[in-house]
Amino acid sequence: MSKRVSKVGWIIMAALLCVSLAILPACGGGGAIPYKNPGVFVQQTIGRIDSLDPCYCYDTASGEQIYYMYEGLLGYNGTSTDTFVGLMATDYYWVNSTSLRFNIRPGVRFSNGDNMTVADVEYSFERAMVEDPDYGPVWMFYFPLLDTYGSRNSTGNITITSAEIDHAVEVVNSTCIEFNFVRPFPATTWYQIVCGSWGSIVDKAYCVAHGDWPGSWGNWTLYNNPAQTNLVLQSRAMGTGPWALDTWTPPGEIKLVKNDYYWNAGVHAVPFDRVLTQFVDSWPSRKLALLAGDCDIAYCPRTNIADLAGVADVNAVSGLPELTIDSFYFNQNITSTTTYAGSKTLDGNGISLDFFSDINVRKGFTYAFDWATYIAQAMQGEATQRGSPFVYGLPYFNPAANMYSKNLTLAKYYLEHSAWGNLTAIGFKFTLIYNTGNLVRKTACEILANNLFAISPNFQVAVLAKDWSSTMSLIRGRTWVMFQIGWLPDYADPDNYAVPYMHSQGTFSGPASFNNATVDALIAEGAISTNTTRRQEIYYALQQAWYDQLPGIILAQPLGRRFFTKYISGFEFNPTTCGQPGNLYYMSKSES
Amino acid sequence: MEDLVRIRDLTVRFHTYEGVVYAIDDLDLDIRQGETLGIVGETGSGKTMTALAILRLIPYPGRIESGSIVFFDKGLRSELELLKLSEDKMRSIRGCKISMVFQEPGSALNPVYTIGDQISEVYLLHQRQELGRQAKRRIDSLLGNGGTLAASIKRPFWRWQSRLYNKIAEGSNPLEPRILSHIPLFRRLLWRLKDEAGLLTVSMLKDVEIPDPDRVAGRYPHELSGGMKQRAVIAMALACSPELLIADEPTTSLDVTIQAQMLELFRRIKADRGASVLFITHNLGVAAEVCDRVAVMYAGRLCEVAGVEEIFLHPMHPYTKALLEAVPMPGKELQTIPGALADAFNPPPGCRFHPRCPSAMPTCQHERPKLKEVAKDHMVACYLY
Amino acid sequence: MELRSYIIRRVLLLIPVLIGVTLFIFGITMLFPPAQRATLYVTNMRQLSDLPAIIQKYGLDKPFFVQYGTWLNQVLHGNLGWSRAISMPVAQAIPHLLPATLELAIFAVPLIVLVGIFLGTKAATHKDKPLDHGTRVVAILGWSLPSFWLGLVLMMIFYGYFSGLLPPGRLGVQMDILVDSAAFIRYTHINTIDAILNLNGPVLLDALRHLILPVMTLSVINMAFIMRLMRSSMLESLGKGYILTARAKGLAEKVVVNKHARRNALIPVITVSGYLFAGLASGAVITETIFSFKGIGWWAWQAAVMLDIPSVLAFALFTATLFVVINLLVDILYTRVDPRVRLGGAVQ
Ligand SMILES: Nc1ncnc2c1ncn2[C@@H]1O[C@H](COP(=O)(O)OP(=O)(O)OP(=O)(O)O)[C@@H](O)[C@H]1O
Ligand code: SF4
Ligand SMILES: [Mg+2]
Repeated sequence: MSKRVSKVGWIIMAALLCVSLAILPACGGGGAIPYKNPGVFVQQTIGRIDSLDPCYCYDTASGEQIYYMYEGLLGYNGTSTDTFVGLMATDYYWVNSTSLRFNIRPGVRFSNGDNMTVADVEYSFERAMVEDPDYGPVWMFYFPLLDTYGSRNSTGNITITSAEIDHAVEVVNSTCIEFNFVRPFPATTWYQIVCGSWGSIVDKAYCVAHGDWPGSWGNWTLYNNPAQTNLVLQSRAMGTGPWALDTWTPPGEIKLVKNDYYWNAGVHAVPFDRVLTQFVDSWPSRKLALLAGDCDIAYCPRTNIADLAGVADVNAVSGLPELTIDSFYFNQNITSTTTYAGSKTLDGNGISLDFFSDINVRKGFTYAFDWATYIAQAMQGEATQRGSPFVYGLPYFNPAANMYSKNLTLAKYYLEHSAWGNLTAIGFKFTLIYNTGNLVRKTACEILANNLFAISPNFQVAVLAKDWSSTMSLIRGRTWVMFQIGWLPDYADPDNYAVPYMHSQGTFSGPASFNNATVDALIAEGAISTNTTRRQEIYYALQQAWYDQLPGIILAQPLGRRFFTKYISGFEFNPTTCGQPGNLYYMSKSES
Repeated sequence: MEDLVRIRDLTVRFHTYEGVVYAIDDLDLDIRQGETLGIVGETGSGKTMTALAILRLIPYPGRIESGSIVFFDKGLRSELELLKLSEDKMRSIRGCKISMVFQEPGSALNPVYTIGDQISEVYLLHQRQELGRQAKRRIDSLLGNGGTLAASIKRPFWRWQSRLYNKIAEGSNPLEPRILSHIPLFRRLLWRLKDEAGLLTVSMLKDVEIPDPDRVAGRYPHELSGGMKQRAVIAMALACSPELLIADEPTTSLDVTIQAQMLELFRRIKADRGASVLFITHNLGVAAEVCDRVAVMYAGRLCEVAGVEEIFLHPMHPYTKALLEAVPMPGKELQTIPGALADAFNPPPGCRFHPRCPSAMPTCQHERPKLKEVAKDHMVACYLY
Repeated sequence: MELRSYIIRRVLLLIPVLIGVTLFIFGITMLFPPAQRATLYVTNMRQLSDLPAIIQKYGLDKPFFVQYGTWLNQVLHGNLGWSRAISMPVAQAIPHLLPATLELAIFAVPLIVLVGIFLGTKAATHKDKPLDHGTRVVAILGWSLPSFWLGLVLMMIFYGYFSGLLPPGRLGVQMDILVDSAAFIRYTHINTIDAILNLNGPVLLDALRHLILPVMTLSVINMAFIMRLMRSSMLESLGKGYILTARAKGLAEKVVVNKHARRNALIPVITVSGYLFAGLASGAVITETIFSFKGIGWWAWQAAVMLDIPSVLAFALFTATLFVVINLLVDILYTRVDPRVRLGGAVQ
């Protein structure tokens, strides 16, 4: 009896499934998108905000909100990454090779009505350096100003003095502030640094009233390295930006409200009364919200872009070169505890731990990669191949830099002529790791593994997924063999790419044991050179060095895309700006 | 003597997945006014089903297939064909004119309601008008006396209440109290009905010789002994002074001393109230003690009906004889009836007893023996007579 | 047993339960190597080189009991730690997230229980009839449909096909702005209750509109069990002697079923409903995620994915306490429904 009924149940379920499958394609996309919420900009995206404190925030989701609420001395000029406009500063000039002055814009007010003064500017930078939270962004100030990477040594003891901080940022007079560098520093790089969210100007009176560092040197060390719980601006904000914080209800959303005192409103009115950012994890939900007009922009993962292709009333902007790059890194000195290198000897069942220290092996592998397939399949066509980590959009990018391309004959040649002998005869075996869920990286691994196998069936590469938290620790532990990683820059200067990718102590090149004295010297010089011609030479040379030395296989620079409703206009792409909409101030929303 | 209930050609079957169970087959039986009729028979012979058929409470998947049950309603002075009554009418008979006491006092009472509540329920159901009258009388006496301030404030409320209870007393389901009784909070306004029912309950409990009836009324079933519970069940069945009381093995699950008290109670009730009792038992000794007449059932059919002395002294049907032989007696070797009980799914054709009957003859295997009056007031269904 | 001493005993019992649960969870997290646990503190790739320092700073490589002891000591000093998953102190995270979860539970549990009891009763009284088969089909559907699938389909129909009709989230943009304005007082952060307390109809309607789909998803999935349980419990009760007694009294079938049978049949359903409430009040991960109704469940899931150990432990403390308290309430409720039950004892 019950058997019969459950059969009926299954039949009904199957029928429901069929019906719903028939309905689903018709869902959404049919009608026009209604115009909703005038005066409110609603964004739906993924991720979460970690902190609203400019001296702590080091992730893009938080940075985006800080950009809406705060302004720094300078901002990027439109879509440019190396020209600037004055925000809190009206103009700036070098007094000598190590002193830079900014004239402060008069008449600027914080969203509570407080006047913004030179004292606030000085306080903002000194506060950042005083607090300097662990693993935060403040090293970017310390390096050019005091030639150190932070206020503490590796054991956590404070190694700088209050006088040093005090001297680094000085008030000249009531309209002028001065930065004193320890040695000449590339001007553009410093401008880029102060454009970051960490360069935001905060309201001194407001901070002090809420228990922040009082601006005096008596017991400033008490304020050093605060826990996140104690950050005064963790969930508060008081800036001079076009919008002010209304409510932040983690993890769901953050609501901003127009800053009635915005300094430029007379020239260009603040376009939205409210700015809402909603964190919605599921793509179908974001998509439907966009189609229902409940949000004005929805973050669409690359794998889902076909969902919105050609949908009426959706305004798609694509082909936006992002300042990031994915690459395979070769580990030239694998830790002996590894479990990914097979037998750990080059006997056909594994690889030796120094396998990749031979340039011919690296070249052979590189020739075995297929960029065309990768870009078409993994990146849905939205990427451009690059020859080195120095991507398009950075100063000193060499458009004519040498690049590899797929060539299995050459690959075979180099692998047959490796320092370890004829590898097609010996054979090798190891495991490639990618982080779970990242299908783009998975495809890249498979392309490489398949092409190597096509060269010789003795080349056996397995592909394995590992969750993100364990892949991070694997990199540090050097147990990986080849690893894919991406890099989001702090600022758009090639030095910010050169160090992690090529310096012997770099974030990636370090654990990979890539070590080249000439490269290190070039990087050190480029970091502080103020001569733009010299810098161009250096970074062109580093791009060639990548081609010659091959620390890893550079894959492709992704092209981003945005999906707005048709009611939004004025979007301009600047790759250095955090967040999807970018510079909201010049955008607008209207029904026509 | 007049018949109170006349059962003719009653057939009850259970349509189960395994097959059809012939629980009662063409049964004819009369219950007379004021008598105690015993039904005896082995387990599964259809005693309980006969009783339930009278109340039309045959459980699913059983069904009364055919037949007629005529009940002579003394109040209405008319004969009612129970099997043709509407369900509503039938409900007004159950628990009021015909009531039943079940085998297991332990499970016959709902564990989550007090004894008092469960008995009051019967009054509230069947004697609503009477309760209404009582309540009105009580309010009217309140209205009549006293000139205190409190009383004069409450007077308009009492007047309304008096009118309300009067409506109930007049019967025919008036609208106002009906609405009230469906609204959770307002239902309380009818508390006087409950109160009156409670009073009747206590006096009923006293009637069945329950000590301290006030206290017992507030007790839950699990707080009482088996004998007390059975008394409470009997009180519930007698609450509305039924014309027919059906008692389905009321003493089986009780120990012997309590059994004796219970039988005494039944005898007294009958004497006091003049009700008829249908007394179901498989204990012949018990039947001999309380019954005026005894009907013997086997496999859904009646074998023999006769006065109690007649049947014990002159049993005729071979099954009755066998039953009497099987009664344990001092100094006598215990006899059992040979063979197994008839299969309910596939009852033997002809006389159902023939596979076990020592006197069976060829016709017994094909033809069903009819119930015949072979002596005065003595009916037997057997080819021997 | 006296009610007060019973409650005290149960609450005291909570202490070993909480220690046991957190020890267990702590033990599980210790299976991950220190470097992996350290990545919790990393928000930027550049911090990769800081992993050893993080391990050092937070003592992630210390022995198990030392680390547990450190945590326990903090908790005893009222510090539950920082929840990375939601970027606020753990002690604030739970009250911050509970309203959303509670709002779902407050609507879903009565719906599930009442409709489940109603349908279960109907199925029992109509045993083997079409209505019984119908509820059985509903039960099978509820049991076998994955909730993420059901949720998505519901959303695609009622948000996509009927464009914007029943949106995900907790409130629409306009109402969301309104409730955070000074004109609206957040008493409980449960939108529907706050709307009623503020006598604000539009907010109430909007909140209800957002509740329909998640509550429906939760209900369909969870109702099946209550319904089947009620059906079998009701069938058992309907077979009891007192039902026949009630019928023989002349009571109408409706009264027999609703008064005499149901109250007895409710007893097992009360237990399950209690656990259902505890389960939903500690979060419905999938429903919360699909409908952007982020609450405790979302948080616990996110914390587990991020290896956010303080959050996971706090969640365990919360859930265990909730279950013990609900259990206590269920026990007390039992004594109300069934006079045979005594606190601390079984049915007599
Ligand atoms: N629910 C049921 N389903 C199927 N058959 C049933 C059901 N209830 C009773 N019967 C059948 O009806 C027949 C008569 O049963 P009944 O209960 O009347 O016997 P009884 O004489 O009262 O026996 P006992 O002394 O055990 O009470 C039995 O054969 C039994 O198998
Ligand atoms: S009819 Fe035949 S079988 Fe039946 S009891 Fe009489 S003699 Fe026996
Ligand atoms: Mg019986």
